[in-house]
Order: sequence, then C-alpha cells, then structure tokens
Amino acid sequence: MFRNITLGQYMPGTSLVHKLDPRIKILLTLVVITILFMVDTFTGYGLVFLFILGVILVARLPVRFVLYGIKPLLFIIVLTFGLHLFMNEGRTLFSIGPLVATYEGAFKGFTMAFRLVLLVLGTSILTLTTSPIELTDGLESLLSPMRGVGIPAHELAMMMTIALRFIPTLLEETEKIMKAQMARGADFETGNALQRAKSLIPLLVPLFVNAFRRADELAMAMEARCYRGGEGRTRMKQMKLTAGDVLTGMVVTAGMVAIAIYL
Amino acid sequence: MSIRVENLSHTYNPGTPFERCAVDNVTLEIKDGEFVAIIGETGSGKSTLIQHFNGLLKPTGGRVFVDEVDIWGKGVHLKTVRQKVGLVFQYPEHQLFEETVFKDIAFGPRNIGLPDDEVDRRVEQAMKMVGLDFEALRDRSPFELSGGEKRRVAMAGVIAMKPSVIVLDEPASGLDPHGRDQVLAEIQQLHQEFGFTVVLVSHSMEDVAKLARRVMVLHKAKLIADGSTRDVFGMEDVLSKAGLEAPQVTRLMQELARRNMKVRTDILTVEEAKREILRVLGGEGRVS
Repeated sequence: MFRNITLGQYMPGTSLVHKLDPRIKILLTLVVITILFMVDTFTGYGLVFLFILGVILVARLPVRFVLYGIKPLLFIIVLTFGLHLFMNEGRTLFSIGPLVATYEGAFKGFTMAFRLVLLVLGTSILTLTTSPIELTDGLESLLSPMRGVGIPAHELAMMMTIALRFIPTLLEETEKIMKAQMARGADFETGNALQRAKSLIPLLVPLFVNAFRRADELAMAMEARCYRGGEGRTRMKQMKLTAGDVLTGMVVTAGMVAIAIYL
Repeated sequence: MSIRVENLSHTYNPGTPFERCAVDNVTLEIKDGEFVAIIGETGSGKSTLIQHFNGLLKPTGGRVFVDEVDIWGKGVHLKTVRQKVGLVFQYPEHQLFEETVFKDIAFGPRNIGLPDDEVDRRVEQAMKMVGLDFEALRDRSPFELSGGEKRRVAMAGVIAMKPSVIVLDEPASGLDPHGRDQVLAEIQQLHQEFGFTVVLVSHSMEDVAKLARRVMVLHKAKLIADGSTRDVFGMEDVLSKAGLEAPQVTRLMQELARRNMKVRTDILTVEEAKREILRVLGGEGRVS
C-alpha cells in the first residue's frame, strides 16, 4: 500500500537533468518556486508549465509516473480550489444554498490549484533526478558558508541523509508488521476513530522498538568506522561546477525572471 | 484443510517503472496433513507466494482456494481464512508489542472474538506446544526474553489461533545452534503430535531434508520442481539451476557413487548415510 508513493523517490538515469550539479538543481528549484509565487497571469503559468514539462521530457521521466506524485496532495488541491471558489466576492457563477460560487473565485481557485500542482511537479523533478546522497551533499555545500553563523551544515546534511535513507526501510517494515498483525486477525481498516487509533498500537510499538534498535546499531557502526563529524572529512565524489552547469543555471534563472517581470 | 493455488501470478507496482513479477503462473496444492518445504534463492518469490495462502496479498492473476473455497470470492471473510492458515513471518519476534507474554499471545485469539476463559486455555496450550513454561513466563515482558524464547512466543501467538495449516518463513534464521534445534524440534512436533499441516520456507537444505516430506522449488518467480524430498534433492540439474545445492550428505553420497562406491544417492540425513556406507562396506568386508 505504500509502494505507490512517488513523492520523494529517486529514479536513476543518465539524462542532462540527472547530470546537472545538485547545487544548481537545488537553487533552480528555489528560483522556480519563487517565480511561481510571483506570476499571476495565465500566460505566465503556461510558460512555467511548459518549462517543467520540458524538463520532465529531457530527464526522460515517464510523465504518468511524475503525475502520480500529485495524488497524495489531491485533497489539498481540491480543497484549495473549493475554498477560493466559494470565499471570493464577485459575479455569481452558481450557488448551493448559502454558498455562492463566483467567477473571480473560480479564476483564483484555478490559479492557486495550478500553482500547487506546479510546485509539486517542480520539486518532484528535483528528487526524482537527484539521488538522496547528491541532494544532501548539495545542501551541505550550499549551507557551508553559513557555518560561521552557527548553522551546523554537515550535521544537518548527515541527519537528512540518514532520514532519507531510512524512509523506505521504515515503510517496508511498517508494511511487514501490519501484515504480521493482520495474520493474527488484527484489523486496521474498520471501526470508529478511537478503535482505529487503538488498533495502531500493535503496529507502532514494534515499529518504534525496531527503529531504536536500528538507530543504536547504526550509531555503533558509524563509530566503528571512526565517524566524528564533518571536520576534515573528504569525499569520494567531489562536486565540480562545470561551465555547462553555470550556464544552465544562468539561462533558466534569466528566463524565469523574465517571465515574472513581463507577464 | 487443503490449500490450492491455480495459475497464481503476482506483480508488484504494475504499470510503473518499478514493475516486478514476483510469482509467475504457479499452480500447486498442499493437502491436509502434509509437511511441505518451499525452497529457492533470495528473491525467487517464496515470501510473496506464501502471503497469498492466507489472503495477505491479492493475486494479480489466478485464484487461491482454502478448503476448496475461493478466498477472494464473494462473502468470504479474510479473517476466517487467516485463522485457518496461520502465517509466521521471518523474524516474528519483531512483531511483539504487548507488556506481557500472555497478552501478546492472546492478541490473535482476542481478535477472533473468543471469550476470556477460552483465550486463557488457548494461550496456555500454545505455550506448551512450543515448549514455553506457562507459569514462569506468562507475566514476563516479551522484550526481556532470549532470542529463541521471543521467537517461540511469536510462534505461539499464531498457534493460539488454532490454525490447521501453519506456514513458517525461515523460522530458524538468526538463532544460535541451540535455539535453532529447539525451534525445529518444536515444528516437527507440531506436525507429528498435534497434526498441523506445515509449510516451511527455508534456506537450510539440511533442515528441509530432515523435516519435509515434499519439496517445492521456486526459481525466478516460477515453480520449477515439486515432488518428494528424495526425488527433488536427487535432481542435481534443477537444483543448480535454482542456485541451490542438495544437503551436504546427499552430495557426499553422490560423490562417492561417482567414485564407484556402490551406495544409494537418495540419502537425506547423516544417520541414513552412515547406515548405507556401513552396509556397502560390510558387503565388501570390514575395513580397518
């Protein structure tokens, strides 16, 4: 049941998007997100949408698979649309009882929902084309200038790496324990809220016990390999910015800024 | 109680780039009172297959019958199926969660809605069946027991539901030799004394040879052999194709036969091998 979550998954590949320096990718994702909050015309959205679609195609990601990533957020997207539809003042579109839908609301709701969809798509491209290791290495490198003001870049990155690394493991384990308890007649699906919350105990207790055990083992394994934080640590794969990386970064940023300014 | 599987297929993540077929068109039948082993390399589909026996996974193709009833048919309660076919997962001790051994074992019987006195009786019985001291352990926390004890508590949790078939996925893995022997002895006892139909998934050919009467071999999602233990362990080509080896002692006898010693090669245990070698040597006169 958890196998269908595509959000945050990595799909190995050799495309130009995959090969782009993770730091540039992170920064560009931030640029796209910022621009998304600045444009407010259909043409603007359309262009950003085309750009994102283009990146998906260049990265050779299966479009349907990327779109799956929206599924978990569908509820929020529909809710956003609904709220805007009914909460705005303006010309009446139709009404259900005391609720009045307006043209302005429909327009605003649509753009907000579209914005959310683009946000999810844009960020999932980042995670789909960048391995968790690259991602955290990139973040560490981007954050390292801020060490001076007390931001522990390496430690943060290490925590993220570990967290990301264990998400699939924990999901797998959750599924396994659920099945084991279901084999003993446990029922996770029916009953009222209280019964369902109670039925989670046989799942959560073993999950936590195992997570702590795993954390303990991991800490031990890290210490056994003399891990002592980021100081003086070198990497097997050094990140190197190429001229192409910088150029891509500049062209995309310029394009995005142009969209924000002129549209 | 029989389990029958017809043209069963299971594909994970259909329609995504992560699509993977784990069980491919498998047909088999496990009859009442049998002791069957399922062997195969890691990733050959054993675990996926056995999760269909009690309806934890829904086949993407084919059908599963328990007691001649299609478990995915209309009006069939999966809970009843899961009560009839008990499944003990690998490392079952990882699923323990209650404060006391008693409560943990009682989880299953309570879920099927049994009255308290019946639950008491079942827990006591189940603990006895797996060789745990009821009085000494009932109020202990399952988390402070030894590895072997934990595993037997978890097994008791399934046995207490009184299934007629019990499916065990690698029940002896990760235990010390002593715990291993004990758990295996208890499984044999479950079959011989208490009449359970047992399905054993194992990587240890020695254990399989010692315990099972019938062996099924899975390879790359397909069932490639199904027969008596002696027959299957005699099929060297099938085993090597599946990335498996017959038990050491069987291979020893095969090697002896290749070197012109007139021994039978369908030998499964050290005891049998000893008798066979002595028989042959005896025929040729004693060797000093």
